[in-house]
Amino acid sequence: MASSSLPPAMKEGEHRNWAELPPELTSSILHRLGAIEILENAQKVCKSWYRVCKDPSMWRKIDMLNFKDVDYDLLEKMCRHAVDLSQGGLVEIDIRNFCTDSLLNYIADSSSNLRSIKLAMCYQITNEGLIEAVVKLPLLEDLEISYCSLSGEFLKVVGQSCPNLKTLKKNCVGYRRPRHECDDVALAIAETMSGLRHLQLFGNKLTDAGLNAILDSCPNLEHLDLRQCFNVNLVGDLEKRCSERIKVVRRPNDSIHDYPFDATINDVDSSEDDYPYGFSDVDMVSDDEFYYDFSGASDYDD
Amino acid sequence: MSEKKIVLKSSDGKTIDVAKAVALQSQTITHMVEDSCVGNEIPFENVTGQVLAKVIEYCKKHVVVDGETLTCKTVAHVIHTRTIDEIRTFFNVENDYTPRKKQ
Repeated sequence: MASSSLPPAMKEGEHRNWAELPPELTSSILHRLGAIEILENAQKVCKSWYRVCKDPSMWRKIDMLNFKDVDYDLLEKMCRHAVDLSQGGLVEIDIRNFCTDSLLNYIADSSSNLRSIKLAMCYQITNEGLIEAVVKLPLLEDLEISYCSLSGEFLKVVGQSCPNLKTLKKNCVGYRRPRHECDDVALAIAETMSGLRHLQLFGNKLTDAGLNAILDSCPNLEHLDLRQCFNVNLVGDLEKRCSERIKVVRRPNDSIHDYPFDATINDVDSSEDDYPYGFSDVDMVSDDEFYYDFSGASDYDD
Repeated sequence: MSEKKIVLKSSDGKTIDVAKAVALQSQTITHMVEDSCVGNEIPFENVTGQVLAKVIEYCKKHVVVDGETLTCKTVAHVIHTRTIDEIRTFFNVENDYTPRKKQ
């Protein structure tokens, strides 16, 4: 940001009364930073910022945007520390890549008020780990488990344990070849998640039958994202059903310009018999390529 | 965290709780506090609850420093792009922080 484009009160080198800002306002500003930035930077600037950063209200929503080349063990430690700082008041958490079963359950054990969990590319999480956690989160309204290697079976437990669930996002890599149909996820949703309002199943293998089951059971659906669900044939009566009842429908071949993950389609030629599922490196699109050294590993050991 | 709260009361009887420091960013509110503060409650006979709520929302998203109003988002962005030392320099904040001894 060029200093000439900053408003006068923010020009470098000029004396301003930032240190006299009341804690509520400092908090209002620092709230907008990710958890790692608060722990590694903001809270180390001065004592008054440290005090603001220790307040549990700073940690009601935790966004673990992680940076490249940071050790997963350290990230897990920082996340646990952030959860501790919330003192049971955590309502929303967002983790990419490094979440494990034990971290997830640590979060669930201390945060029964959790309303929203977003997990993406967390390949270490298992069905069992997720099931163990969600039974402790009866107030959950918003769940995302994208690009995690999980089956549909755990979804039934989610539906049964979380009656307030309104948003579900379960996205995965889409492919057209080989053609593989599977309605497990769709049927689990139909069976147990009748309160859903917002459903995103990018790259899912559901068929028309699975979609109909969802439409039969989820009368409150307002937003349905079926991009890259190549087994769904959204025409005729089925299309009419969707467009009449649902406010926003993203069709299988709709544009992916606003999709936050890599949407590369992983079609495999029939000649590649040994490896039917090619996994692309699902690289997150991230706003910043922030990279810095972590020297404070010992800060998070208790 | 210090939480001096005040209560703003609108013309249609609605009350809004807000941290004093946040509310006082509004010149209008500051004048009212000076003129007609009864205990903790400040009446706004000419302002509806809806308008009052919008004013408070604005106050929460902006900071006023030396008469300049900035969004918290802008300020956060400045922090976001800088190291600890740079942040201290930029905000002219003294380093009164003693780090734990590293093993």
